[in-house]
Amino acid sequence: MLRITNSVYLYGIEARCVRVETDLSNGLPGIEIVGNITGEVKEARERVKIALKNSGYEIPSKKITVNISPADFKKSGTQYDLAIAAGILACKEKENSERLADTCILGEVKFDGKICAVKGVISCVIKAVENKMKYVIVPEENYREASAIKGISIIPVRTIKEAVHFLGIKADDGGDGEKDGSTAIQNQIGSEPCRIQSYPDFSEIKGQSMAKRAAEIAAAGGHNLILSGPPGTGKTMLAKCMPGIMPPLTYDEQVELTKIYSAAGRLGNSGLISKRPFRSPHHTISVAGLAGGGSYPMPGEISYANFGILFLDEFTEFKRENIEVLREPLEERRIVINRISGTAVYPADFILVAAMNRCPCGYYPDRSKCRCTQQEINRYMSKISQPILDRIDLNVNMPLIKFDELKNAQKEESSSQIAERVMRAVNMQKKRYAGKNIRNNALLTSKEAEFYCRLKPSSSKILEEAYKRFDFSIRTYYRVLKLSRTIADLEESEEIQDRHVRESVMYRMTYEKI
Amino acid sequence: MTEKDLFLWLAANRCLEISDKENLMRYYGSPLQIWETDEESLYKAGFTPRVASSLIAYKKIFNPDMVYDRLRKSGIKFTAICDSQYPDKLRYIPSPPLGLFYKGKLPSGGVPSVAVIGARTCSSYGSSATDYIVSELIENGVQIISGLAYGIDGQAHKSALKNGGKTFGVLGTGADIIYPAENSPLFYEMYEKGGVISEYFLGVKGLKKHFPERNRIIAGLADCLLVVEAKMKSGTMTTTDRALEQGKEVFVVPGRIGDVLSEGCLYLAKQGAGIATSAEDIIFSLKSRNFNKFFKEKNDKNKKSFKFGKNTLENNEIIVYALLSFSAKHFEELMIESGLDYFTLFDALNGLCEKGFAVEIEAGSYVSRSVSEP
Repeated sequence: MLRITNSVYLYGIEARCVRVETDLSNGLPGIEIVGNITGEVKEARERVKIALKNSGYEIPSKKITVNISPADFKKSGTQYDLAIAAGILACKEKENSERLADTCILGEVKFDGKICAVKGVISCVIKAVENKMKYVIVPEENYREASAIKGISIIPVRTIKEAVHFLGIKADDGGDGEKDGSTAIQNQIGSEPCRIQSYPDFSEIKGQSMAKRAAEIAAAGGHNLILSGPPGTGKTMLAKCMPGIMPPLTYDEQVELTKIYSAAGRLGNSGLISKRPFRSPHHTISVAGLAGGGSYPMPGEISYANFGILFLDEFTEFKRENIEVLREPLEERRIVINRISGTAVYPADFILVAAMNRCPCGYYPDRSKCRCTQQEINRYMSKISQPILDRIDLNVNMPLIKFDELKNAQKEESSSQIAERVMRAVNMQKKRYAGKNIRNNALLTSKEAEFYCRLKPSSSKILEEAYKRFDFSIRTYYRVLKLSRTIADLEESEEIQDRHVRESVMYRMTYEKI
Repeated sequence: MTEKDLFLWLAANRCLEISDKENLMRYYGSPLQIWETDEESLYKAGFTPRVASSLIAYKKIFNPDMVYDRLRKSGIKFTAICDSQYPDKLRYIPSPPLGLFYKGKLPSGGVPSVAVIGARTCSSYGSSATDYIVSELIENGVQIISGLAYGIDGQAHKSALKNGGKTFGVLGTGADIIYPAENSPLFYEMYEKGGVISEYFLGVKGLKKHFPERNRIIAGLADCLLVVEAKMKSGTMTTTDRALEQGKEVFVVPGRIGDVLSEGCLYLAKQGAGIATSAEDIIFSLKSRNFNKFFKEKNDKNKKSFKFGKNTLENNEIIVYALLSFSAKHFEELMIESGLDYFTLFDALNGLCEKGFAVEIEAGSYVSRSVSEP
């Protein structure tokens, strides 16, 4: 007797539908699972056997063969357990349950018959919708996450019994006839309460108007930012404020972001992530921790920072390879991790905010305090290569504020005031790029930049002069162009003016200026 | 073997110190005498076994054609003290170099030369003062001599090249060595547009004792010396000593008291060094040193057209310009001092930069630019 249940295979954040085929035949009693599977899936045999027994089901004393198809790629993960258990029970029945065909089943079983959470549920549910499934059974803990996806009925379950009941399998379970608990769970969990976003406020930073302006531009156009200066000038504080002035995430962005956290099992029982991430890994992080990796490719910090801020404090203290690994993601906005088991692609569309001192002691260029030799300073700065500096559009030096200036400082702008201007610039971009797959100015290709960032003759002359004086590369040229577009957007100016170009040239880090 | 080959034999001997060569020349009078002497007479004359054995050993293997060939391959030329193109100014200094290895050109004798030297770890004040004075000197056709080091030296060469002038660097290493490596782009520009000169043979490393020796050549090639920033105990001060021994006039750029980098300059000023606040001061002294004719022709041609006045600058620009100085000021500081808002200040600074009144020397830090006031 053959029964087929549906589940989803997951690699990275990419899902694929699989069929779990269960067959009863004559032979020595036992369960065998085939279909190019890894250890985790093999272990499902024991988990399912004992979970079924402890839930009061009787396992048919026949040879049970389970095939997870198609068998042309390696399957890992624990989400097939429940589908296997359901398949075995369905085999016992003479008639096939109708629901089996249009239900996708996800969940790992425990020995006591309870279902525990699995990774990557949101990607799996999206795949199930694409495959025109009507129902998806998910573990209770993953319900909030799954329910963010529309177009499919989400059935949360706590035990094997609940799942079996929903599927309409009348397997002999020793009696007490547990009811379908899904509605109860749905009512109990409800929708997630809106979380109050709290980031530090820009008004808490005294002075530093140039750095604040740069942060505003970075947030508006998705440009990368480097903050340098002596210790204690507010570099870290400023970076922490930045998510607070960025526009709220759209639904699509929330789904995309949630996929990453879900695939890594970092979501817990929360729903869609609605807050822009702020990730600040310590400088001792490994390459795999930063960019993603592992024999089964897991996302790294750059992917966790997707649509948010990746803050690298003490930029020069990072190992060189760690910094250089950012090169491709900064251009491509995604990271491709190749392993023997397959290729995972994780989005990495973050704003890089780096903070650093300019010399080992930290006080350069204030020569009255800095005691470093020129060699030491050069060696310190050479830790960051030109290709990385090329990709950072905004470079701000934050000076120490003198005490009397600190007292005199006027009232500072609050985050909400800045956020309003950023929002206007974002709306300008949305209008301009309507119907195109461009999220912000920083993502324009050079060809698109030529089209959308046209310069007046006078402005183009300014850029030409800067190109010659500072020895720009072609990449730098387009990056300055795109930055000028964002600065113009902040003023809601359709045309890029001379001073927009001048300002963007000013923020460019060049060795001429160092 | 010509006399020049014999000088090359002495100059290319890496085992001899500069002082050994000087002693040999003083004792024997000419390179031919040294060549013809034998080990015994060297010992009799009181030379150490190191000097004697190295001389004799190198004599055996010395082949001028091979050495010239090696030099040619590295693009390096050689001139001996007996040559006509050997700089005349060096002939008459105490212990003149017997020969010079150089890449590029040698300074021309008829043109006034100023050595601009100073601290390696200079301040932004130092580098902008250097830029200001060197640019003016170049406009008047003066050649700049310096030591191709970090800081003031490098700045002096850079400013000279930027203004299309002639500039020459004297090394404490072999002429084929680039030291410090960070100045490598500057070296290559100098090979083309100026000259890099050394007394040492190919591959000689920069030992500590070489630099005071090289300083006497820097002072020797110049008609007068300008010290921009110097600590009390520094190589710059030894160059000054050499210049005074050679009877060259020394100028200093005044700094503030209490500033470590200005201590040397202020000390020299107290000792009677000239104070240079602009290139005029130096040119005035050069005129009295037989270059009167030289400057007469040039001066009329290159009159600066900058005029500081209300007509050229906007109101806000005047406010900001008044706040700028030779030491770098950050945007933030200027904002507080001027009381202007972000965009007004930004526009004012842009205007000043465009009109040549200010320069952004670092991200967000500005210095005022030399503009002759009426």
